Amino acid sequence: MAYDYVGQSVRRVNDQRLLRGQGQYIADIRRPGLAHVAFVRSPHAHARIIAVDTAPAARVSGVLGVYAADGIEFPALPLLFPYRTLDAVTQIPFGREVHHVGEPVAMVVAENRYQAEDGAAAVHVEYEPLPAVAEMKRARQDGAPRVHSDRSGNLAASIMQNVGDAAGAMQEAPIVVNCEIGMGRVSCAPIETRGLLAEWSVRSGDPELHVYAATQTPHMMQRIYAELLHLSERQIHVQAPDVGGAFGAKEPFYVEDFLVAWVSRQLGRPVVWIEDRLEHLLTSVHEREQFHQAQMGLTRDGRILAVIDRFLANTGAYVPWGVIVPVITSTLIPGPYKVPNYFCEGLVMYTNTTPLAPYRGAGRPQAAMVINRLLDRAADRLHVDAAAIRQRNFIQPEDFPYQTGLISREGTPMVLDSGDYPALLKTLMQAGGYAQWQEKKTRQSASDRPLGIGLAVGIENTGMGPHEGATVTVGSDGQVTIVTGAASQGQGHETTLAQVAAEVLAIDIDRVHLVEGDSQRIAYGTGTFASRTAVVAGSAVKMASEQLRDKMLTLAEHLLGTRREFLQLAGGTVRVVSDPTRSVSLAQLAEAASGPFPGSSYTLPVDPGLSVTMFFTPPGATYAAGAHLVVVEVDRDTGQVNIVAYTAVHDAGTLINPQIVTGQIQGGISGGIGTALLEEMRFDEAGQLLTGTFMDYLLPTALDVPDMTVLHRATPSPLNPLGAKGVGESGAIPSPSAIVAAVEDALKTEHAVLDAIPVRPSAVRQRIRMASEPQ
Amino acid sequence: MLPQRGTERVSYTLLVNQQTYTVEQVEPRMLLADVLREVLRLTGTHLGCEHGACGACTVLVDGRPVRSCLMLGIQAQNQSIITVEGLSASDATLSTLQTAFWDEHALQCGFCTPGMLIAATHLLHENPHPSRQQIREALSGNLCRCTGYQNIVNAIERAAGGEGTESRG
Repeated sequence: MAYDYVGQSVRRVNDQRLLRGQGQYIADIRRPGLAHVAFVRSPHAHARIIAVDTAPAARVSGVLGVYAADGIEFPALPLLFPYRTLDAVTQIPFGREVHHVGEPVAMVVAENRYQAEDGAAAVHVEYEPLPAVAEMKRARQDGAPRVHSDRSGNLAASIMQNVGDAAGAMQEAPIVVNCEIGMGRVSCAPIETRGLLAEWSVRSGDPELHVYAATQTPHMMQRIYAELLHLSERQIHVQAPDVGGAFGAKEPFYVEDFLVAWVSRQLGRPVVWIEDRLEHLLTSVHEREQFHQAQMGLTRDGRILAVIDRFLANTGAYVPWGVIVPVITSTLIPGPYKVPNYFCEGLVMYTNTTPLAPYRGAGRPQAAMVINRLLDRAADRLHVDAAAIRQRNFIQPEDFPYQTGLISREGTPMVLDSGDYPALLKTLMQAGGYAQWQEKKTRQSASDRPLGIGLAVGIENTGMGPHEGATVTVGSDGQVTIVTGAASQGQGHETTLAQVAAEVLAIDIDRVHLVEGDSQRIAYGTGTFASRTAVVAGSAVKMASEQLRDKMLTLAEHLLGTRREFLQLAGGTVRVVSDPTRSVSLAQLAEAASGPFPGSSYTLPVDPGLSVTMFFTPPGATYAAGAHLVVVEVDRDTGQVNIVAYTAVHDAGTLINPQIVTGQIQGGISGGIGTALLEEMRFDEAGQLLTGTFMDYLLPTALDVPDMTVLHRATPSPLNPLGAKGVGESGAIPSPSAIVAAVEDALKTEHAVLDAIPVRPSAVRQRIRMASEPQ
Repeated sequence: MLPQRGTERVSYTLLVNQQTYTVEQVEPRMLLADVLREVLRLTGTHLGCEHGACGACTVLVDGRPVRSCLMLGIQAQNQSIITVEGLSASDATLSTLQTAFWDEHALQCGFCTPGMLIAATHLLHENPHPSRQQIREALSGNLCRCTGYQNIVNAIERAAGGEGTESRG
């Protein structure tokens, strides 16, 4: 069939303009009279603001206004994700006390960015520095400085999971292995930073705010603006233009989002703020930082009896996305494996550092690290193969739906919907040439560049609620428009969601257009994060398209006087099968459904308008899975780790566009390589950021990321009409664990234990030196 | 005494994509990237780090790739500048390289893409048949957070007449 779009690698419909440099990103938008913002930010990790002298800044050429944390009182940002044990502190715009380096204390608005920065440099702020704590282990100690002066301690939340009797089972287990691992803090680091343009107008006497924002969550922003500015949603229009990557950084609502909108109203001019890279590294959310001490008990034949994990998680100075990240970690440590007895306790600590919130993977890479490294230790102890011990412990295909006994992040029992982990790993072993690499490794083991092999399997809860809606409409030109509440930052929704609608409506994909990221085009939206759009918005598009097709056929029956079983919808036309000369086009149907001339009666058998809105509310998360095999070569002299082969087999359920899905996984793995080997946001003891540029904070380059083989092995999800599972974050999840395992394997003769990521050359060299020194 | 910062103005001409532009009454400190984007409104050149590390703002200056965030506009006088907007012959067509990027899904968010295209244009001019390793080396100054680079390497290989899709997973 010519319209079987789902499952085809359709070229992206959006690419031509991006390739010509005709994208419209936030920094490209201009409005008449636009003024520019620069922020003055705290150089202290913890301090009280005594006084702000704005007068010198006000005299700088081009400066239009200077606003400071002096004499203005704003409410704290709303808490987005409450949690039972969470003692939440959210950020206060221009609060009197700053809690991490980089918090805004003043803002300068000027005719251009250069002058705004001149003004910011002229603002003088007097601080009373307070004791600060940057390190989460230190924050937990008695007598540690308090991150927030008005709090009695630094504990943000405690998290607990308990299935069966882990302590008892551990005591009786014949084999017990331990694993201690610290995971470094990373920055989301999209190549486009954050940015915001705000403009006010008056309509029917009411103020109206129009915001263009590089955001993943336009409807959430609209709602928060309404709350903070005491306006109704009708007065607030949030629009995401082309967004240059996000990975979590553009998901929370930040104080700058509020302040830029507020200052535009004060000044009576449209105002834009474009975050610079230092601001991004200093203030856009970080993630990953956790420290785990884990234990696994097994039978002598390698079956898991119990897992106990205790961890610390850093949330920085605030909780911009609740404590979702460590909660997810705690629920996903068992992963694709049967763990009959499980106990996990996480303590989430405030520190005087940049807040942490989801980055691609959101707590799952940490979980995959813990369980997979424990299994590697167990395999070593039992002298069994790393793949064999995993096969021995997988949840089996016939076990689905699988009751984990855990409580998911939504607060409901956690059930895995579908999967075939044994086949996933088997496919990986064959496709990745596991046996051949083992032989090659043995041959090369005595060289200065030994090989190491690592593997990991991880799962991801994706496609979560509460909902996403889609309005599918046929215009008077016969073209189809989809509107959803999602927002693309490069995922290719313009293509994939169009594929879904084009298949249902049997229309050429060139005639299907997507509008998203716009709060005025659909009343409700959740946004694009947590690997959810293909599943949730995709299902809504499918449901709305199906209803629309039904409506078209009902109308065509009426207009053609023929029952629908004798009609065929294809190529933008409904035809009588036996007499193709009798037909009606989508344009004619749309025209008819819009009603005859004004003043006449509407007598058609369908509601006016060829348009249908449907919301999809997923009943629960659908679980994607990935198995990764990595081969590394380690240079014993320099400590350099070179990835020589990378294979991933992935279960994303039904694929809408395989090329796009593969691209998402490649990108996720690239991020995982950064997390494992290169990227770390470092602070000194006083809370000063040490990695404020891309010279210090190393993103993977084209020389660090190898060619990867990505294969798909789908088990369609029973939880949505597409059978799809989310994929945006998947690649980032098992990759760090597989890479660390491979490096450790390469250093087997040194008996090196890698207990922290990123594994940089210095760490590798240190392990080699430790092994060669007499004990 | 020096004039107050932000008050001095200069005018000059720039040759961009074979067109002569007059840049009038701008501050002498204005970066080439900002002149291109703000004055000439050629917004295809993107700023990702403003410290010369990410490569998104790369343009060709007299045939050589330059970080337009590290060069003043006024320094680019009397030189020929090529930006992403100058890569295709017309609005109706894409260049071979751009088409290869499209075919190979070598872009996701598209933000790093103009810099990638410029870096690749320079590479293919210097070395019409680069190996995959040479392509990777030529791209190593351009950061991409979305793609993992593999499809970008494929695209450049394809544009050079090589296999292109060979390593697609």
